[in-house]
Amino acid sequence: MAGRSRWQNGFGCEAILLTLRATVALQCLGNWRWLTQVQETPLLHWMLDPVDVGGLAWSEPTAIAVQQWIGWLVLLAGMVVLWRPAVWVLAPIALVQTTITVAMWQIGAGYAWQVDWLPVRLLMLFPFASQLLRMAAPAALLMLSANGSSLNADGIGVRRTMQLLRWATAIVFVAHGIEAVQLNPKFIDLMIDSTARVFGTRLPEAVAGQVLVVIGVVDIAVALALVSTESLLVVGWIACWGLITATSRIVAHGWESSWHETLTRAPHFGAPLAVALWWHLLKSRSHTEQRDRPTQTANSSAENDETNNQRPATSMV
Amino acid sequence: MTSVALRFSCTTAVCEVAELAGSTPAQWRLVWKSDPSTSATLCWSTAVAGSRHEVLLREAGVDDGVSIVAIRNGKYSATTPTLFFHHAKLEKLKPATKYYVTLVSDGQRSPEMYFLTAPAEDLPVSFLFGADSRSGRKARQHMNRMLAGMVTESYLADRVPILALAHGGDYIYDGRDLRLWSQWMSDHELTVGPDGRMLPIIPARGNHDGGEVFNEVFAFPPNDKNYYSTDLGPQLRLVTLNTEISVAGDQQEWLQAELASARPVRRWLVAQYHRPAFPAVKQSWLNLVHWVPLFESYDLDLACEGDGHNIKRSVPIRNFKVDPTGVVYIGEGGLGVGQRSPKRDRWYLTPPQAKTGQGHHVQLLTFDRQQYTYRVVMLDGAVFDESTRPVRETYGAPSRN
Repeated sequence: MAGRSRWQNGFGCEAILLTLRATVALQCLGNWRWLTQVQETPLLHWMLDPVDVGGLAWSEPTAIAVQQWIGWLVLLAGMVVLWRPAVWVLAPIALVQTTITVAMWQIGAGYAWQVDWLPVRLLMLFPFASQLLRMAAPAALLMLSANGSSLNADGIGVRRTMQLLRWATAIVFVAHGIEAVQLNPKFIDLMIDSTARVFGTRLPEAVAGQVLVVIGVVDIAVALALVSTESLLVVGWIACWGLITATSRIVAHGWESSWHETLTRAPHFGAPLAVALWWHLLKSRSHTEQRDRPTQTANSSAENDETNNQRPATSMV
Repeated sequence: MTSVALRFSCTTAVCEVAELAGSTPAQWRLVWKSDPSTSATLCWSTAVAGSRHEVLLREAGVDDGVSIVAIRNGKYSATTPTLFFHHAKLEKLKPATKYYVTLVSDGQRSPEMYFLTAPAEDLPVSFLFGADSRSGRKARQHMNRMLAGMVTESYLADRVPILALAHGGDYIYDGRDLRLWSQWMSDHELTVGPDGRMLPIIPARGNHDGGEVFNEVFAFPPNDKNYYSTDLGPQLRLVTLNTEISVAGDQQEWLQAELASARPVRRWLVAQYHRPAFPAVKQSWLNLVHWVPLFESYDLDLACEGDGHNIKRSVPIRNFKVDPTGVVYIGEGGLGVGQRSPKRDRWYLTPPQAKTGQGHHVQLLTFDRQQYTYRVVMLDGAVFDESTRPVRETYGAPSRN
């Protein structure tokens, strides 16, 4: 312990916590805008749709009022998370995010995954994969917060939490990789519009499609690498790519109409960043321990030598 | 024809539709694509694959008919239920002509029905625009019966004939679910009038219509992008667009070329698509950025939109301002789906130049040499909104582009 840096001795865990708190807070801010200002969400449509198509058949004023309340509570919860994360705030955030995903499932919202040989009922579960990180980020912070004030990076609680984020990140990347390989038209337009804004040139749809397939394959490959290795390069790439794709909404469509879309996707870069910090922390500790071990070994050998040297003396006495 | 009349008569609250059993033809749809004055596609379903599927086609007043073999048959791309589609392409038809058709699958026959091809002469024409029939099945069935009645009445003396129904998308709530498509296709039979008159459909894809079944229901080639133009007479072009694929890519380029070529030679230029650029309830789709400038540049007369689940007629819009020379956006969808409250405080929905409302409805659009007339017909037959706009002053003038 004496050889560990400030980073290894607690600041690293604090950085992980801070990353997740900021991630969830940004996510809440984005959701607040989505739920209260934009209003047209899968949650609202689920509440409005008739029962025969999976909806709740609520009246429009009731559904909008409920969604407004949820939106403002989410904002409040996000602010509290920045100040002091606690189970009683994080559990409702995770619940809201899960409810939005359930709504997407019930009304068939989100990307319509195409596989002829799979039944529709199974395909309709796709949002649970594509939205998993948005549910997992508050859940992970909840798990860490439930551990109390002191966090041990080697402890079972932190390990389980980080494994949750690791696998959730991988599943989301596989889901988005599938969407990319299947040429989700929203992604095509994001690429065309972003290219036009950044480079001032028109990207042909065919080229955008080819690039998108490559992106999809890379997404799936790095997702597999994420769960099969502990590479900082891989998880760093994923965090950067998550940030790029989230901000591409603003780049393509402008700040005013799309900032909430970027913020609701904060877990796409915040969660892999937390995993990266954790791995870095473990590796730096391991490195320090390995560095200190020869010294300790040398010291203990010297002590042994001294003891041995003394023994004869002692014995001589 | 007696059997046909009996076949479609409504003796109870719910009209009878053909039962899907064996190779008996059912769920018939007459689909119009590019040139409905000379061509049409007949589609139907059977419960078994069968081996020979054909249409017996006979021109009115002519004794002899021809047999047209279906060009594409197959199993719908869904796991359940097991149903089979059949597409027969009718070509080299005569304009403004009545044709009798009977669908035959392995010797099993449908009732004899008929349809009229679009005119080749510059005559006044009407078509219906509606969208969003994805829920509210009873209302959808009721609406289909009303459409059949409207078409029949439109062929009375001194009326302008209704040629077709342009459907702006969201037929069902999950386009991958064949069970829902099957219900919709059976319900669509109710658009056939009591005398066997078929109502051609010009389909656009909605956000709930994802998947390959759409192409099989409406006889598009596999993986088709579903954007195309239809000439409803020599002076009215309807451009059907697809908001569910890239709106910024190839489709935008096609739209520009299409409008550029059609504007100088068509008096009326109308577009239909699902997600609205100027919505009454929801947020604008990306077509606001990629299509609206083209609409304005080429003086589109009318844009028909769905998805919002309400009734909408916007002010004429150009450069995000009210402009008498601008484009009017109508529609939003009410062929069965529950209705939302339009946001009347949006600048382009402000009365008296705009009008919005709620209720199951269809838009009746009539075009003649001087003006077009827009009417919103409610499920009880009442007219909720009516307005006219004259032919653009720029019509016939040299293109500005």
